[in-house]
Amino acid sequence: MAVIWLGLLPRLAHWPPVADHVRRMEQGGVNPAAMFYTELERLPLRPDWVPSQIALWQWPAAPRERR
Amino acid sequence: MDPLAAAGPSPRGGWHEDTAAILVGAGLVALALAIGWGARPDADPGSRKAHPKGWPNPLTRSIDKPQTWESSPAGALIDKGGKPVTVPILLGMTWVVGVIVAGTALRRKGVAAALPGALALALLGGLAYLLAAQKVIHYYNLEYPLWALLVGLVIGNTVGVPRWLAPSLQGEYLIKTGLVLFGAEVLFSRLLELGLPGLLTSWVVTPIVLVATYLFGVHGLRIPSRSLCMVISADMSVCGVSAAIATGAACRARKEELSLAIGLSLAFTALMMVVMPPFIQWAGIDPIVGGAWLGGTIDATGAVAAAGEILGRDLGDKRPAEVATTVKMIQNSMIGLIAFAVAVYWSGWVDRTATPVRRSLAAEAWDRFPKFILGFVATSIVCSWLFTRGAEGALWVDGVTNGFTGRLRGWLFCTGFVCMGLQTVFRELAPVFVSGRPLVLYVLGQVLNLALSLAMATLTFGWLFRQGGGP
Repeated sequence: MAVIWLGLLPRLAHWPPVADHVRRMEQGGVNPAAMFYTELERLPLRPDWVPSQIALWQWPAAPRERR
Repeated sequence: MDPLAAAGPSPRGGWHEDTAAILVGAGLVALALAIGWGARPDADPGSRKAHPKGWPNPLTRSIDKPQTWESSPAGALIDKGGKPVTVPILLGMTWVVGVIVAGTALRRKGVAAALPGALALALLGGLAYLLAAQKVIHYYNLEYPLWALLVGLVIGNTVGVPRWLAPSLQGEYLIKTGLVLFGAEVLFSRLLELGLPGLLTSWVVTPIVLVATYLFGVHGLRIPSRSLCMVISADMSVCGVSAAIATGAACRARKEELSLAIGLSLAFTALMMVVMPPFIQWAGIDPIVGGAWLGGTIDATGAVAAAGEILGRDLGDKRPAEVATTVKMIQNSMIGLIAFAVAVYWSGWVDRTATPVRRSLAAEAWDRFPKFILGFVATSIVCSWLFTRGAEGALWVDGVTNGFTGRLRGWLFCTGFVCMGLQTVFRELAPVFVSGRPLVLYVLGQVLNLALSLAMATLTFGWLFRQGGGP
């Protein structure tokens, strides 16, 4: 396990496709290991561009403040 | 003993394991709510902009987990802002010890005998979290349950489980307590966030795929274990590991069945996260429909966010990621109802056919019903109700779940999986793996999920949503 975690995986992190994926995720502030939505870096809230007439529930007080 | 099976009554007349899980879990949620209310901010308490992750909860400072690291594990002790998190990590382990001790005391078992093992298990949970925090592992969604199981399996099948650890091996209790805490994060009001298109994509497709896959596994592939079929169907159609844990506990799946389902889910999640975004672009699928498709099909929530980010970044459009994560969140919010339905179905139907009925159907079903599910549903209902009591209520609940209960739930699941690994013998896993039928069930169920989700996403986000005006 030590060989894999301290030797192989750190090297793999520098392999261009993997490094590119990691960089994209870090830049986007994404937590791909989230098991549930509450663990995401940004809570998914109904986007502003979704027309209110098809949304069945709206933010109680200040919908424009959602972002 | 099977970790997810209901424990019998304590010989010394203590509380039942499920009752202990409810008391400890609900007590912790109540404590976090009370402390969160006491520390509510004076300025802009109803502003999401001022408090994007909810009201700051003082308990947040008492728990954290190892941070992502690349080449030196020492990096796990520093957060993204450069702040050391050694103390909160150690305190996180202390919470685990506290939960084990509280459960042992409530069940009137020997607290002193359980204490050394509880400390060792908390350390092993920390080790599993450390392995999961390595950058490559973290960013390819190979979540901590896999490494927690691995740590337990390696130790249990090499050096063996020492006798002093045995009184603390309470994996089922830790997972049940974690699920009661988890209930606070399962908010029914979230179901309505994306309106009719989101509901149709999640609510119509998910139950159809769940039931069809389960029935195909039982009757088509003739897999002998119904609980294995249910756990695979749930993690594939709902939301991966968290759904597997909740339904596995509801249908009393065996530990090796849960391990297999989690392994399958994580392997396919990593694959789909990488393959689906370029496929959506190659096939020329509408970005919003593509986002909804990602949200409806990829098992794990984090992987959905990652795939949405890849798709959106390539297209220069943030909407696919928003739709993907919101559709997934709606699916996440279904866990409570699905776990409850599975528990009712199992206690009222599946178990009933296996054993002769001696009393009324309702009494028999109630005896078999996993009572901790009531705690899970109760915390979910209470927190959902608070969440809908205006902006302040929503921020209050978000602060509790983001800052404290979510983190503690992670530690309890992680340590629970270490216990499961320690109690699993490799040769017990072999018969489950070698038949290959669980893999066939997962793949065929996922094909159905992909087809139905794409059809529904096209119908709703490609047509109904357009009717609503579009972005």
